[in-house]
Amino acid sequence: MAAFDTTNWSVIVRAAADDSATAREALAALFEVYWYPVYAMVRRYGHNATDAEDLAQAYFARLIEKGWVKEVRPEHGRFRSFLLVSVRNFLHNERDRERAVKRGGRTRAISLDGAAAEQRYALEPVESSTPETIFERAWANEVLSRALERLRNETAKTEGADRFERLKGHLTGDEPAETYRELAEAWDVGESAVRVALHRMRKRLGTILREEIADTVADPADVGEELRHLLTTVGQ
Amino acid sequence: MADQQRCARCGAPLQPHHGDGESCPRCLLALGLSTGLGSRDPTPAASPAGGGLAGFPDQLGELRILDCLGVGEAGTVYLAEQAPPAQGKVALKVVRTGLDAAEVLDRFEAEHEALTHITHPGIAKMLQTGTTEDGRAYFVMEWIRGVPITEYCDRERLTTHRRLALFVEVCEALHRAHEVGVVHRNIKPSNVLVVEEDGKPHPKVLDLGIARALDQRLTAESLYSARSLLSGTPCYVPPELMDPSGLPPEADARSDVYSLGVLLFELLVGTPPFDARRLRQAGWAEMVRVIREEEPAPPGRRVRGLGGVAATEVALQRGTEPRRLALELQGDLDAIVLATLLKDPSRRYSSVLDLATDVRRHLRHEPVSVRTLGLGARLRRFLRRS
Ligand SMILES: Nc1ncnc2c1ncn2[C@@H]1O[C@H](COP(=O)(O)OP(=O)(O)OP(=O)(O)O)[C@@H](O)[C@H]1O
Ligand SMILES: [Mg+2]
Repeated sequence: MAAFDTTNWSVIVRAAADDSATAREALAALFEVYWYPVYAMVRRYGHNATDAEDLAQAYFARLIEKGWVKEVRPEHGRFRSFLLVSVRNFLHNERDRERAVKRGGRTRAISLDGAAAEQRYALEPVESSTPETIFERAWANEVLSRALERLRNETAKTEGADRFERLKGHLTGDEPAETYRELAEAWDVGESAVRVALHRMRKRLGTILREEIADTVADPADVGEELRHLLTTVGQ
Repeated sequence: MADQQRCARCGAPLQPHHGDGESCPRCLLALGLSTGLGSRDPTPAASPAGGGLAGFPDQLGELRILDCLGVGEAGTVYLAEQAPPAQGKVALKVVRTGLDAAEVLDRFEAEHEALTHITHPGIAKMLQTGTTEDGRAYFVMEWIRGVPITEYCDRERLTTHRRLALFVEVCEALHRAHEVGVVHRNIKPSNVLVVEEDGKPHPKVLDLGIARALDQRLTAESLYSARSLLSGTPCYVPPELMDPSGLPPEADARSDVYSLGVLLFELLVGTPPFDARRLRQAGWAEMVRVIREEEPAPPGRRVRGLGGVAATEVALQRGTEPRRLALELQGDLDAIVLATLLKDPSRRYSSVLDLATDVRRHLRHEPVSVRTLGLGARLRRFLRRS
């Protein structure tokens, strides 16, 4: 995603004012990436799987149709907080599901994989979460898994798939000495080479994370703050 | 909750389906914070023990270095393991080059002597100091498996009440240090971590005595670096220590009162009293002017001014609604916070204990001293209560 900067939030916010087709397409692309958190929140509000998917579609149709994005101001220029609050409001105003669906739920403006979403939702610790905490946690996990996926692909290309798989469990450090020794033996390199590889992967992951997050904020200077916010949500 | 799996490193709860060999998502995300900040990277060049191929050295004396915990203005902090028989994990702070190690350690000893006479559960223990082969000072400290207090409160969605209770504990720990004459001088979220023990949060103050030893924080260069701007550090520096015209005065307890006030503000409202974005863009001279001259808005008004999305988000993190939150803050808490943030140190709370006492009074719904000092306020309060 980071490669195409026409799909990032800052571009959408800037282009939204004239409601261009580009802005709409970009918004659809970004919404498809981050739709699972929306789905999970709607589910947690008590809607069943089918309704949740319909409501997500209906919400998106309304977003486009009503030009809600235009309401975004630089001071709340983060896609995540915008979606959280705007979906909540939408649900609040659309208590009547039939009405919501009639207004666009069946139009299928974007492609969403409902079955996959429901499978993921089944793993959520639902009882201990509110709709908002589920949304926030799912969001942070989405950012993280996209970044890890990119790191996996990159590492596979340059160093072979095995590298990533063996190192990924050690990305946060504090390894016992055996870990380095074992890996060094397995790859027939020195221990310091393992440490170097790990260090490089960590740094790269950090950079990718920042790039992914940069796509969701209106001002690149907000990446750090957004990241600090995400830290508070994964452990909820 | 009690038997929930937690990250061995930061103490954050892990999800029920968290796999055994999987890394903690919080710690993975945190990697993004130590990258991309431009300035000082924990990379080789000047590693304490040579080697250092993996971005950090393998060994320092008896300590085996396991990982880099973070980079600050003053140097780099590593997670390290003590040699047997001790074998505990500790934090190792290696001061950056450019500072005379002997001077640093001399200044530190003077303070530390006083600190050895007290132990307080809210103060991270200093275990050892020394000099690396390449002449840099280092500090070995208790390793705190926690996260910054602001992050903890937001993660746990603590109410205003519970945030205040935690804040009082920070004040108490710091007061203990003040009693033996040690001022912190560098209170900010990354120096106040929270750990959970028996399901209860405990704040731990880090780096006591270090700021003075390093004679840190007072230059335009350090305060206006990318790192310190992004971590919001300049906001925490009291105006009297940001003297643009030469040598600022010695810090005393009232400087810590100010920084604690900034911390309190951020705990209550979610952002520091002066807009970080604005300070970032302002340039050094303007930043100093803002901090030395501008009166911050009281927390209650700040929340009301946030508007729509931002207000909802801040309130949600405190388990409430924006209007409720503004109401909670207005009155006592506004008065307490503003009294800590006064530009003139002699008009602030004269000790951290006085500040803590007022916060405790507020928690018990008793009149707070900052407001009862004015007769008018006392009368108004009396009338409202009867
Ligand atoms: N004893 C410790 N236990 C656990 N984490 C620590 C410890 N000391 C420091 N850290 C963490 O390591 C990182 C770097 O710390 P460091 O003190 O160098 O920088 P800082 O706190 O950001 O700024 P400053 O240099 O002004 O204190 C911070 O995130 C800090 O929370
Ligand atoms: Mg520190």
